[in-house]
Amino acid sequence: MSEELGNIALEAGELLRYAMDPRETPFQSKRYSALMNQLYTSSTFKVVFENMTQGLEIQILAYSPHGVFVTGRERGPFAFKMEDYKSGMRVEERVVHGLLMLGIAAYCFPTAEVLDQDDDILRPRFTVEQVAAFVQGLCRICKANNPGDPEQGTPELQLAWQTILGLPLTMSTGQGKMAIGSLAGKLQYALDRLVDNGLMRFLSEDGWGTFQPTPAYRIQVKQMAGHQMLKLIQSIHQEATAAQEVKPNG
Amino acid sequence: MLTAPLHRMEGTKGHRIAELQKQDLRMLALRVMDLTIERMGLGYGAMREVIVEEVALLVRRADPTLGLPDAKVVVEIVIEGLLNDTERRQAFREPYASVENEGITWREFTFNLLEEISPDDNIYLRVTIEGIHLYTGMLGFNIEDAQVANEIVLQYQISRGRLSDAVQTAREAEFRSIQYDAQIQGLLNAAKRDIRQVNWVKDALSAIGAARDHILQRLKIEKQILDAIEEKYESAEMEEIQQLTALKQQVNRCMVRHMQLHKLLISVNPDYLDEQLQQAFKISGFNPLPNIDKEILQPALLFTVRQLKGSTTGILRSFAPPQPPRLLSLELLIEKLTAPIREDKPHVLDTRTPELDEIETDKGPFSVEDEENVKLLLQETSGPTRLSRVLEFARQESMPLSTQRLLVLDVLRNFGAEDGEAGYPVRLADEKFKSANFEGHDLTLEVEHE
Repeated sequence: MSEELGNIALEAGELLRYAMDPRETPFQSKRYSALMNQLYTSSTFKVVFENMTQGLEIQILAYSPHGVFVTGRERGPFAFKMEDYKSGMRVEERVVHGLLMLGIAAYCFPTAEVLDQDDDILRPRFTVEQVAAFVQGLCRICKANNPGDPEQGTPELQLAWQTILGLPLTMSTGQGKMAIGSLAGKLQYALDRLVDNGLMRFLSEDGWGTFQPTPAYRIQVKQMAGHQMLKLIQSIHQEATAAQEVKPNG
Repeated sequence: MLTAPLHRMEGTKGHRIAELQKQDLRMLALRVMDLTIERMGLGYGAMREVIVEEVALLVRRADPTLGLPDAKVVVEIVIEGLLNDTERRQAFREPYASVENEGITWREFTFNLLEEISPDDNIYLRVTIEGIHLYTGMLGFNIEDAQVANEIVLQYQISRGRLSDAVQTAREAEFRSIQYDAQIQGLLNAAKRDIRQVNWVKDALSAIGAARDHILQRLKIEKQILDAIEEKYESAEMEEIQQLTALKQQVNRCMVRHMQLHKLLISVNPDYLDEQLQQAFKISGFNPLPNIDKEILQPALLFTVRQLKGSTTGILRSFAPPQPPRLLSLELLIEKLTAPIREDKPHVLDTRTPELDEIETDKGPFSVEDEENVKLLLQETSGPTRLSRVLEFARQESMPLSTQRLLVLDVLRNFGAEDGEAGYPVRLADEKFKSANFEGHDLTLEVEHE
């Protein structure tokens, strides 16, 4: 192996290290910026970098002036595990957290056109209070459109909007903080995780917490979340339809 | 149509805070756009706080009773209005009727006026192409004519040596070049967005041809202006050199912008043909990205928890970076396990009461003997006596140093005492004295004996 190729592999590894820390940006680090420049100018470097990520089962979501965006492939060594988000959650709690992640994305990107804008264009600042009202509002519309008695049974048989409406909007802990058992507490938890991952900026405590999405959030939602989430919902819909079609004959 | 959001902002201000009553929000909005466009010539745009600071001064001029924080709140409301924050920064939508095939068809014009961008971790405001159109329309003149006029004035000012005026004119010329850039980009974007909106062969191609000629002419004149600036450098004084450098930078920026625009105009026809090809097969209103609210969240709310539980990991994974697994190093593990145990200090403050020893406080620096000696010394005096003499006497009598110190302090206390409070009168003598232990102005004391 030539010395040059060895150096390229070393630098590709260095770029991957930067890519895996979502709080690093090429604007903060000159080294990251130089490696990004190499990515755009050297085809050999790009091939080595992409092969390296493929071998590690890491998926490249996007190359952008804001950095390289990557995620772990399902069942790969870098894959996301539920414990990485929050351990010890009950099924209904997990589902609510997932839906609230969707709620935040839907609030930030109200239409496909807005999501499709340039990555540099910032979305508005918003408060936990506003997103909570938005999600509750959607759930109330669902309730109004389904006036029949809600299905009684285990929490798993409840419809998602019923589970969310069953949560108190706010609840205080003994220390005077927002309890995670409340809707606002769960939203705060979700937004804090997004801040940890460099996808949101925390601005102030106003309105139970004021945040603004970073360009990285748009890139993440645009490149992966949108399609991934749509596919998930479509597959559930297909399963539900198939189950209904099978029932009369069974 | 472009001005409709400004009129709405002004029309609905009565429902908002009282501080808005004496303000014309339309004028403030235009001022925000004006200042932002001005800074767009220098970089990405304007820092939000800079705009707020500057426009707040204008707000206070309209209503001097407002404090600076309230004035800033007013400017923030205007900026939020221009960003359309109440509609979560979606595009403004203005319906309009058009006559088509002798019938009336209602259409919708969508546009943004201001954007907040973060191209480099900092946050800037940027006026959109439609916003620049609005602003240009407000000024009510043709940009091409204004550019030509600016350049003639600039050449004249440089040739006459009126450099500070020329810097101002060059600033305006740069502003016009930004506007012209926006005008051309607007035309091309309209064609790209929907090719049916623009008659390419009849309108667009002729407009592009005219634009190319206009830009070539600008580049030629800008080259002449740069030559004139270079000539001026030779005879310029220090102060003029700074102005000439500023001028040169501004003209250079205009040239770069015009060259980029020229490059764009040269390549625009093939781009248009590609776009035409793509749009011919495009379903109207189709966007490859999903509407997260309507296509994902709302359907998901109607599923049961059981149906959704398998998908939650997938949803949360969408917002998480790769999670690096922790790799075991046996050497490191053994090192950590065998390291000496550190005594963890408790996380509470040490609130134990310290053990205190009593110290002797009744024993002062002077003894009873010293006090007796001082009394004796004072009694020995007769009539006005110098302090230096009394000290000499004490030394001769082998009285301790502490006695002498107490004597000095007692004399000084009586010297500085208020009228009626002194035990005996003390006044300043004309001489100084110096002994082994004391030195300074001598004092005369007069003790009355009973």
